Parts: sequence; structure tokens; C-alpha cells
Amino acid sequence: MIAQWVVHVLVLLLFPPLLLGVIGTTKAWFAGRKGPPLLQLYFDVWKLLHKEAVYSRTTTWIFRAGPIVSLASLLSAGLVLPLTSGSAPLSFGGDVIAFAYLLGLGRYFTMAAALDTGSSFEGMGASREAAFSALAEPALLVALAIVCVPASTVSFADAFAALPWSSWGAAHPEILIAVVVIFLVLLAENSRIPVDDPATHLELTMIHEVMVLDHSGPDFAFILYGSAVKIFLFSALLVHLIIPVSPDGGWLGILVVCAGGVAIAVAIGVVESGMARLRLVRVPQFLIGASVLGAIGIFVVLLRAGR
Amino acid sequence: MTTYADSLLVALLALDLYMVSTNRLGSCIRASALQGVLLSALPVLVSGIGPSSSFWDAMHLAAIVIGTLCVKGLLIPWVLFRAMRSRGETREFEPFVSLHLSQVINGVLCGGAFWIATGLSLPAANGHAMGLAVGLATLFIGLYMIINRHNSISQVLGFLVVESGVMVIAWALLRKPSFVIEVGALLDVLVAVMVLGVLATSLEATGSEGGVRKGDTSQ
Amino acid sequence: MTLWPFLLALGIHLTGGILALLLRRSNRVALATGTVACVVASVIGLVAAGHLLLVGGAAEMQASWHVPVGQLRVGVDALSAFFLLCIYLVSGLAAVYGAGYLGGHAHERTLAPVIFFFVLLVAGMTVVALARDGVLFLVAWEVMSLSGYFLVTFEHEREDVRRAGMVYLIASHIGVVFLFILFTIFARHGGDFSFAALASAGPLSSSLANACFLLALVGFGSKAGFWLLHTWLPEAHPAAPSHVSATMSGVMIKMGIYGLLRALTFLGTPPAWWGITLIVVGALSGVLGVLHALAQHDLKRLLAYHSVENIGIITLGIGLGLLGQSAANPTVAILGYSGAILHTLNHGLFKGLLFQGAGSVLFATGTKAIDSLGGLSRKMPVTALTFLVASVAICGLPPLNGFVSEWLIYVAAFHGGALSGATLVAALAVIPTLALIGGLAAACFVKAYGIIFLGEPRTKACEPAHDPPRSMRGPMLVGAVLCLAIGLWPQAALQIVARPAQVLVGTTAGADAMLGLLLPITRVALVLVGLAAVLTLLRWGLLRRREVAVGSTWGCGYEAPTARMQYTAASFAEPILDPFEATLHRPVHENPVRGYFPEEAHYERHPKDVVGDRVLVPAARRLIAALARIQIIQHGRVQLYLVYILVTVIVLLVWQLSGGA
Repeated sequence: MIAQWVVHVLVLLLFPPLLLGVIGTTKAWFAGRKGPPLLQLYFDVWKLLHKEAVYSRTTTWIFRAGPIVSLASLLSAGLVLPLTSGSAPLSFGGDVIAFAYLLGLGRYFTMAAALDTGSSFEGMGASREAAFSALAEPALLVALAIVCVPASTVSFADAFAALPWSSWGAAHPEILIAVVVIFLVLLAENSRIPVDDPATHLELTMIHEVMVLDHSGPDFAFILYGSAVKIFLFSALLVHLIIPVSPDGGWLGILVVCAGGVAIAVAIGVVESGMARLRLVRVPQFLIGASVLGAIGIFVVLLRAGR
Repeated sequence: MTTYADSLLVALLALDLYMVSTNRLGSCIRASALQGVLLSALPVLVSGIGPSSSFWDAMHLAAIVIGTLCVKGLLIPWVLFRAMRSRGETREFEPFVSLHLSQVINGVLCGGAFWIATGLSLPAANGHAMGLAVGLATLFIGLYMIINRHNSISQVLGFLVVESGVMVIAWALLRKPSFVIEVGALLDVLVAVMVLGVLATSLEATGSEGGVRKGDTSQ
Repeated sequence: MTLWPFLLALGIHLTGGILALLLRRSNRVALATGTVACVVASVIGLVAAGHLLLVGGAAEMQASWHVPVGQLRVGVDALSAFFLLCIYLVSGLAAVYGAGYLGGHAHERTLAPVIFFFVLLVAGMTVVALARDGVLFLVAWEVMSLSGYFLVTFEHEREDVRRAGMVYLIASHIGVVFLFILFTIFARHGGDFSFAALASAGPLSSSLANACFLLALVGFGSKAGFWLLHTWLPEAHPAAPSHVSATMSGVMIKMGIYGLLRALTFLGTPPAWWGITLIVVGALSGVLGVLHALAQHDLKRLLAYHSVENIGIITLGIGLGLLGQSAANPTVAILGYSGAILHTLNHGLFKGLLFQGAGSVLFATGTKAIDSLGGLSRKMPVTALTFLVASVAICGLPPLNGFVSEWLIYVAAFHGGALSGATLVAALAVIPTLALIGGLAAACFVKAYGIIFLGEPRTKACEPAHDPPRSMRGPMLVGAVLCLAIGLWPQAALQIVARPAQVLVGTTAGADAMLGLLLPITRVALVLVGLAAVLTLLRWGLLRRREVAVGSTWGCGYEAPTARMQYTAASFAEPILDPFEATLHRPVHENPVRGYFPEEAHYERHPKDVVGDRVLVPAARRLIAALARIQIIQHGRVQLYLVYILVTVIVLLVWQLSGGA
């Protein structure tokens, strides 16, 4: 047990920055250029941790607290979600909701820190982030409900254990819907194209990137690292829905989660390279569409259960 | 229905949702074409006609599949693209009900259709409630599309969706090629005539083009 | 006996109020008397209520009075005790806060009336919770409503305050009419007005029960602030002084919830449609309430609309409880009711705290307009901190108390998957609704907290800002600590909540299982706090020996930023409200920017209440026009009225003589 949790924590801490590297490499391959090395984010975080910090006169302790609360909530969420095995160190009945709301806590403080700078750019980012996350929350919870309701549970561990592996793709389209919806939410929450462009700081694409414009030094390291952890959490969730991860963990569990995470990162890179960013007024439609798709999934679940 | 049919039906519903959410005529036509392709695969999964059935049955089935594929998957979209280009418009004006609300209405119609499908206990639909539900949902969504859109090409697409819904219901209830389904094919012919009429005379539903209206996107 | 402490507290309250009225010459003495009385009474009441909730038990007693109908019958059980707990806690803190707040108004007018009516409000609410007789209940309800009116019109020289008071009075009395009918039906069924008679009279016929449910829904709902019946809330709460707003939003509207729950205990096993109706009402109140809150630019109106939203969340919980009861599913029922009840307490705490914070801002700067403020965190650190705690709590984020109650409701909804039919759909529909409400509430409170307390000051109104005196800071800090405490140790709160939930469900099953459910939340909360501490230490260690510079905010190279260029509340809310435009009513008045060298341009947008403006006001106008036609019978001439009286008396006598009954 303890060994299982240690492995879980190690994977949670060490693996995520690799995913951003994979996404970057995929996009570079599509664009026909060489791109940064796979381990770039590790180097960036290391470099930033050794830098000094500059704080704005306008900011208060909220600005200094923002990256810390955000990273702490992401890591706590990582301890609630099963990663390398069938359960997590902090699993309990109802952890699905704790997961979603821990992410919400991080978002709140990021937005507050953005408003703390007194700059209209960060305010713009915070406002858009508030709008889109309010619409992405229902989509995420409905998708999780698709998985949890047939298993009569509110815990990730039990829900994953109850997934029908033998007849997955063919007979259970609702799991496919849940996967698609969670993937769409992943794109929205992690500021990927088509919702946001992570590569630029232009006004047109300002959502996540601009909220953290003023952070520097170790704060910025926490933020970059946190964004990697967030992608890893969503990817791990998707992996658990697609492939059965061995309940006891061990080497197979680590392999599945890491390989699955890399595969999803490649998929993200493909999506990002293949599409243009949506106009901002279309993003709410994208998210409402995801929620409605999730609702359709629930209807399918209910139909099968005989309502 | 066999297991893969369920996934296919869900894909049809997802495409309906996509068609309701988009403003662009080109995307809508392509989604409709994809629906046609999926619909042509449905009879193979549902009717249970395999290597062990008679020659004529298999031929009949093959004819329907190939016919649907060609007409709905290739011919009608091609004609619609031509109509779109000849009139030079690529986007729908903002529909009567905003796109956000349309998506929510789509969800509600789906829910209503699923509820009705479980409520109506049609004997032939035993164990095939999914097909009936999806077919009804598609039917309602198609009707909604016709009501909601100004542009006549979108309305033709809506009619195509209605007709797909009818086909799905027919296959759910009957499960083998029969007269009813061939009547459905005649509906396709009707659609083709409508589209040709659109091309030839640029007939429009009342109150569409002609004047700038809200949502006219000029980028 | 378990009842005596509450009666003693009631007595102390009333004594304090009357003394304050007698000592009205000196504002300071009156204020001190009233506050001390409130605090002492609250402490006594809190201890008694807490003891009763932890240990259990119930009591009832009766005295005689000279009113011909009804009896003076009071009693306490777990449900009453819980609401008494809320009343004492919120009103006690508000009284201390009010001492400081009203102190600022001491030079303008006599404070004795507002102190007296505050005491009367609390006393009225206490008797409502204790009443075990229909007539006593209604009398106390009226006392509560009327004293609320006098409190709302504290600054009665202002036209808008008078108007707000009128709206409040009218709405309150429209609701009371339904309550009269409801209690009359109860009395006819039970034989007399007492609750004990009703409880022992057996179940009501189903059509009568349905009628009672609807009457209770409208009557108590108008006090609670359900959507469609809510239009008085955003008018009345901002007009009242801040400690009164805190009390009204924190507990007075919860008396509506108490009334609804008490009525439900008499109505037996509910049919499914009751739960579904409450879920629909709750969903509408929640979503539309928070959308309207987002559109507001006045801090107190924003908070008032948020009260509507939180009442919606409580109603969602009650709806789930009813669904569980109708399907004989104790898990869903207990979880749903517990979530609703705990949210009642939580909301009282953090809404009270928020209104106190708003009062502090108003006290210090003289304005409630969000767009005139900014950067107050530096000048009012304590207020900013407590406002932040309350904001994070109201969004339902861990590790604070809002998360616990919303978590309970979510878990109830997920377990609703075991139901069937329409109840199943309704239960599952709670999940995305609550998620949407939570997301929008987070957006709203980032806006409120961020624009008021963070950034740079936008206008000169911010200059005199300072933290309020200790009497105002104290209650805010206590409230914040309680929010954190309930969030970190929810099992303690659950001990208090379990018994009232059992009173509602009627069984004792499931409560202990629930206690075990909440333990892991403490673990997660502690891990979260621990990780935050570790990261803070890490950063401190890294930056300790390096230069930490201070500069101006990076403006992407723009050389002359001003404070007015910051995002405003309206601009922050715009992308969020855009998809929901159809549900709001926000007329725009603008003189847009034109040309390359524009001259004067302005833009104004006033959010109006959809229900008020589009439904109620036109309906009222039509009603008045229709009734104007009947006005013919009112000439104003006394002789004609005497003719009416004479004719009526003659007709009645003739009818009586002719043997009519």
C-alpha cells in the first residue's frame, strides 16, 4: 500500500512536464520544424526556480498566494484521482466532486491574482476564464456522472472498477461520449486550441496566458509546472476511462498511465495543429455543446438501464 | 440491435448536435454527408443478413446500402455545394433562436424523444428502444432545424435530417428491407427535386435573403 | 426543562429592547443596552440550542392567553433548535457589528427605534421557531415582517428607501394571505390550531395535501425569496442598514425555509411531483439569481440576488430530500435534507459576513458602487481578508464550509441514480445545475472581490477608506473563523445537522453512515493547507537571499496606464452574461464613439429585474386599470357610504328573518 502511494506521488510530481514537451514536439513535427527538446519544461522550471522575482507595486498578498494555492489545489486533486493504480491515497466516496471543486479553487485564486495586478490585460483574461470555466464545469460533471451513475457510486476508484471493459467500444457508446466530452473540457481548461492559443500573448488569444503575465521567478515556475500537472490529471482521467489500469499498480500501472498520457498528449498536439482557434463568441457554444453531448450520454445511460 | 449499431446511432445524434450548432453552410453539408454514410452502414448492422442468407436478400440489402451511400453521401451534398457556390453564400444568417439556445433545445428534444421512446411500448421495438429513441430525436431535431433557419439550403438540410430520422425509425422497427423503406428512399428523391428546384430558380422561403439582418457576418 | 433557556433569552431580548426605547435620550446608552442584551441572549440561546442538537430531546409547554382563538403553545425540537441556532448566531454577531455601524449614524438621529425593532425582529423570529400553534405562528410572523419594515426604512428621508420598504411590505403581506389559508386548513383538519392536534389527526387527503403544499410553497416561498416571488429582496436588503441586511439575508429569509420544512412534516409521505417542483424552483432561483447578481453594479443588490441563488441551492437540497422520501430511499433523503440544512447555517454565516463587509466598505467610503472602488485591500486589510474568506466559501470551494453543504447535495443527487422515472431525471438534473451555479457564483465573486479590493483605486471615493472599528471587525473575524472551522471539521457540523434531518425524514437510519463520509474531507482539506504551507516555505527559502524587486505592472509596453483603464465590473461580467442574454433585461443607453476624432461619448447600462420589469409591473398596471373601473362606488361622500351600510343591514335582517342560514 505505502509503496503504491509512493509510486503515485512520484509519478504525479515527476512525469507531467514531459507531456507539454510531447505536445510541443508533435506540433513542431506538423509544422515541419524542429521544435524545443522534449524535456524543455524541466529545464524551464529549474531555471525559473533559480531566478529572482519582481512584484508589482499594485499587488497584494493575493498575487503572491495565487500560484501557491493553484499548485497546491492541483497537487491535492492529483492525490484524489487514481493514477498508477485503481485507487488514490486520498480516495473516498464523493471524491469526484472534491476533484472538480479543488480545480475550481485553483481557478478562483488565479483569477483573483490576475485582477490584483490592476492591468486591463489580466482583467480581460480573468473575465474570459470566468466565463468559460463556468460553462465547462457542468460539462465535466455530467461526463463524470455518465461514468458514476451506472456504478451507483461517487468515487473514482469504484467507478473505474465498474467500467465494462469486455464490451467497451461497441456496446457502451456512452463511455465514448464521456471520453469525448472530457477531452473537450481538457482543451478548454488547459487553454489549448480551439479555445485558446497557448503559444502567444496577443490580445485575441488572451485567456490563460495573459492571466499569468506578471508573475516571475519561482511563482512562474509554479504556474508552468501547475499547467503541466493539470494536463496530466485530465489525461490520467481519460486513460482510466479507456484502458483498464491494474488495480494494484506496479510497473504495469506506471507504464499504462505514462504511455497513455503520452498518447493523449500526441492527440492534443494533432488537434492543435489541425484546427484554428475558435472566435471567442463561439467558445460558449463549444462548451454548451459539450454539456449537451454529455446530457445525451446520460440519456443513453438511462435508456439502457430501463429508466 | 447489435452492439456496434448503438455506437453508430450515438454518432448520428452527435452529428445532429453539430449541425444545430454551426453557422457555416459548408460544415453543415459535410456533416449531413457523413450522416448519410453512417446511415448507409446501418442496414448492414441491423438486418442480420449475412453470408448465410439468400442471394436475393443480400442483393436487396446491397442495393439499399449502395443507393443510400451514393444519394445521401455523395449526390445530394455535391448538388448542395453547387447551389451554395452558385449563390455565393457560405454562411447562414443568425437564426431566429440563438445558437446557444438551439443547443440546449437540441438536448431537450433528445431527452423528450428518449422519454417518449421508452413510454411508447411498441411491440416491434422490444429491445430496440435505442433505435426508436435516436430516430425520434433526429426527427424532432430536423424539424427544429427547418423551423429555425432562414436559408433555404439549411432548410433542405433540415429536411434531410428529418428523413434520416424516419429511416432510423423504420430500420429500428422492421429490421429488414421492406416496402416502407423503399418509400423512404422516395423521400430522398423528393429532396433531390427540391434541391434542383433551389438551384434552378433560386426559390427562397419567405423572409430570408434580401436585406441585412442581425448576425450578418462579413468576415 | 429544555425550553426555559430559550424563553429566558427571549425575555432578555425584549427587556433590552424596551430599555433601549426608554433610554432613548442618549444614543450611546441605548445602543449599549440593546447590544449587550442581544449578545447575552444569543449566548444563552446558542448554548441551549447546541446542547439540544447534540443530545436530543424535545419539549412543549402551554400557557393561557386572552385571545379567543388559538393557544399560547411553544415547544422546541431538533428542527426548531437548529433554526434557533442560526438565529442566535447571526443576530448576535450582527448586533455587535451594528453597535459599531450605527455608532457612525449616532449624530444624525435617535437610534432607539432601530435598536428596538431589531430586537423585535429577532424576538419575532425566535417565537416563529418556537411556536407550536398556528395563531401564535402567524402573530410572530407578522411581528417579524413588520419590524423588518421599520428596519428597512431606517433612512426614511430617502425616496428610494421608502419605496423599498413599501415593496417589502406588500410582498410580505401577499405571502401571509396564503399562510392564513394554509393554517386554516390545518386547523380544520386537526380540530384546533395547535400543531400537536394536527400531528395526531392523521394524514390529510391527497388533494388537500397537494393544496397545502402549493400554499406553503407560495406563502413561505415569498419570504424565502424563490424566483418569481423574489422581487422584493433586491429592493429591501440594500436599503436597510448593513447589520439588518446581514440579519435579514442571513436568517429572516431562512424562516421561510423553516416554515416550509415544518409544513412538510405535517403533510406525510410526499408524492414525487413535490420534489420535482422544488427542484425546478430551486434550479430557476439558483441560475437566474446568480445571473442577475452578475449583472449588478451595486454591491448590496449583488449580495441580495446571491441570497436568492443560495435559497435556490437549499431548495434543490430539499427537493432531493422529498424525492428520496417519495421513493423510500433514505440515503438520498437524509443526504439531501442534511445538505439543505447545513447550507442554511453556512449561508447565514457567509452572507452575514459579506453584508458586514459591504457595510464596512460603505461605512468607510460612502459608496456601494463597485465601479467606483478598487485597491481597498491595502487600506482595509481585515475587511478584505474576511470578505475573501466569505467569497471563497459562498462559491463552495474547499476547504471552507460552502463546499461541505454543496458536496452533500451533490452526493445526494448522484445517489439519485438509484431512483426511476421522472424522479431520476430530476435528481440527475441537479448535477449540471449545481455545477453551473457554482461556476457562475465563482465568476461573480471574483468580480466583486477583485474589483473592489484589488487593483488600483478607480475614483476619489476610495481615499478615506480605512478598516472599521473593533466592534465591526470582531464579528467579521469570528464569522470567518467559523467558516474555516466548519470547512475543516465538517463532522462537527454534521452532528448538529443530523437530528433535524432525521426529524424531517422520520427515521434515524443513515445518519451515522454519513458521519463517516465526511471524515475524508478533513483529510483532503488538511493536505491542501499543508501543501500550500510547504510551497510557501519553498518559495520563501528560494527568494530569501535574492533580490526581490518592486516595479509597476507590465502593461505590454504601454507607457501611460491609468487606474481607469482597469477592467470594470460591467466589462468583467460581459462575456459571462452574453450567452444568457435572453434571460436578462439590461437596457443600454449610449452615445457611441464615432469617427476618428470622437467627441463626447457615454455608455450606461442598468440591470433591471426580469420578473419585476417584464412581468409584475405590467401585470400590476393592468390590474390597477381594471380595478379603476370598480372605483365608481367610492365617491368620498360619507352619506353614500351610510346608504351602503343601511342597505346591507336591511338585506341581512330580511335574509335572517326569511329563514336563510
